[in-house]
Amino acid sequence: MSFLFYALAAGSIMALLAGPLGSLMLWNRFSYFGDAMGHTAILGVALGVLLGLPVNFTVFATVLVSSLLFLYLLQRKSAPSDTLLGIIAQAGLSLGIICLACIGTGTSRIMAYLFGDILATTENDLIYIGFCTVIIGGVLAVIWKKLLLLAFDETSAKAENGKMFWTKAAFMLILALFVSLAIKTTGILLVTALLIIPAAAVRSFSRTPEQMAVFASILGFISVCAGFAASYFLDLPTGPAIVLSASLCGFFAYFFKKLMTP
Amino acid sequence: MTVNDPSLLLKAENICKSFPNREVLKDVSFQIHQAQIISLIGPNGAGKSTLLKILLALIPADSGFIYRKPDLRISYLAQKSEINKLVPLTVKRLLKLNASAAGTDKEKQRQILELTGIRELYDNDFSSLSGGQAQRVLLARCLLRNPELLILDEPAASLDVAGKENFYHLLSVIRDTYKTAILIVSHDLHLVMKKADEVLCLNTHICCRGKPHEIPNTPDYQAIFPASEYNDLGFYVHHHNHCHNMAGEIAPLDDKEDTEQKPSAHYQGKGQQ
Repeated sequence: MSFLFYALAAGSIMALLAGPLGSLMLWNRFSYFGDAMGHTAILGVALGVLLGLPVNFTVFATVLVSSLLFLYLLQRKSAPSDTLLGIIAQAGLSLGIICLACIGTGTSRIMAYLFGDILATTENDLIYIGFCTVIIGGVLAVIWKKLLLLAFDETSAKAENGKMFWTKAAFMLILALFVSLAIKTTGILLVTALLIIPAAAVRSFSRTPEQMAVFASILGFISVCAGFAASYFLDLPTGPAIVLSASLCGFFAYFFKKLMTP
Repeated sequence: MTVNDPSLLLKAENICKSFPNREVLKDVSFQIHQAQIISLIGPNGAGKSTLLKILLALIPADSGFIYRKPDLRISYLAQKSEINKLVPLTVKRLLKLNASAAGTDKEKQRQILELTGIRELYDNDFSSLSGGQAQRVLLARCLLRNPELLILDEPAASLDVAGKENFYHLLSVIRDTYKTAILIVSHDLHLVMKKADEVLCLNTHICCRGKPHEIPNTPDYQAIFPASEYNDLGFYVHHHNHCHNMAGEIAPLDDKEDTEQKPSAHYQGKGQQ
């Protein structure tokens, strides 16, 4: 039964990380960015299969390179940010799909990458997740305050602290790490949902940024457990089950808030 | 170039900036010294925001020279519309967010809360504050960083005349108390802060510069701005030797009237009343 323990541990750690990361994404209006990264991650999967490298690593590298490319093009003011994201995401997705078609990888294996397969978590996966959690937590502790200032009032933050390019780059680095972990839980296509939905659902219940991050982690944990159960007992794809339970929690939170405030 | 004047905080020389198809700033020069109040006014599209971004080193100028005193501490008070209300922050937490960067002791912190009158707002959510309250909180946040130069972008845009008067009074107290230099940007071409040491009128280039005047002591003006109540508002009279045509290009004045009698001649065709 140890595979059940690995699966639950992986899911809980992801939910824990998703709380603060998702809150920061929400405040910095990064939702589209998360989506775009999920799409370029397909290219990472294809590269991993093609080159025989660990898929976790190639997904991380691909997402990081494409998000730094995005940041660079944005600084050069080549095009508006949504246009840039659209181009990078769709180009990455297309290239990834073409690579996968050429390799001829089985559909079920690809489905697991896209939509998550929490029950297939191994001891090695858990070690990788633990390693990434330490890095994400450490970087987050350093840039948390700066990202809050940046989200609250970008012009003042930049005027008072410089352009903050490295803060943004570090944020993208840990988001890319998170996406590479998501292969096991939500899958790379639905990774934004695990980040955004719990954070959005608890926004109106939170008075401080830290409170919102903790609440979002708790809601994420509940969603992951529900998705895990659905995956185990009903044999449903993990990612969609997690996302649907998170959405349901969000709806309940919304109506609860409506009932509480006359 | 070496600058030997220790009270000089910021100096811009011949700043030029163009965006594709449009010249935004041309040969803009001015300087800000310690404890000085500079009022930068100009119509919409005059290049005020672009100049601010260049001064704050957010975008580069095409040509020209900017001197900043080494390690100059600048605080920037943004327009209300730029603030993101998605972040859940109480006033207390917001003020503490950059406390580490501040060189302010307990006594000064207390004084700043007193001065800006936000003590009773301390536990409120920032997103629940009214426009005027939010602005005073943001001003307190700026001051807690102990700035040498305070830059305000359209701080009085959403305030009525009495609100402007109060806000300008607060700024002059801040200048006198902390010796902070203040740069105020405004599109109000005539009603400026009376304590301003210099008023710069910008329309791509600096059209004219001068000092604010007392509100004229004629019955018409006194009816609107009783001198006893509005001590901190001044009137700026433009002295232009040219006007701008519809394309914004410089054109000679077409009438021989004294420009001092017709301060708004400069902006004819720009929708100014």
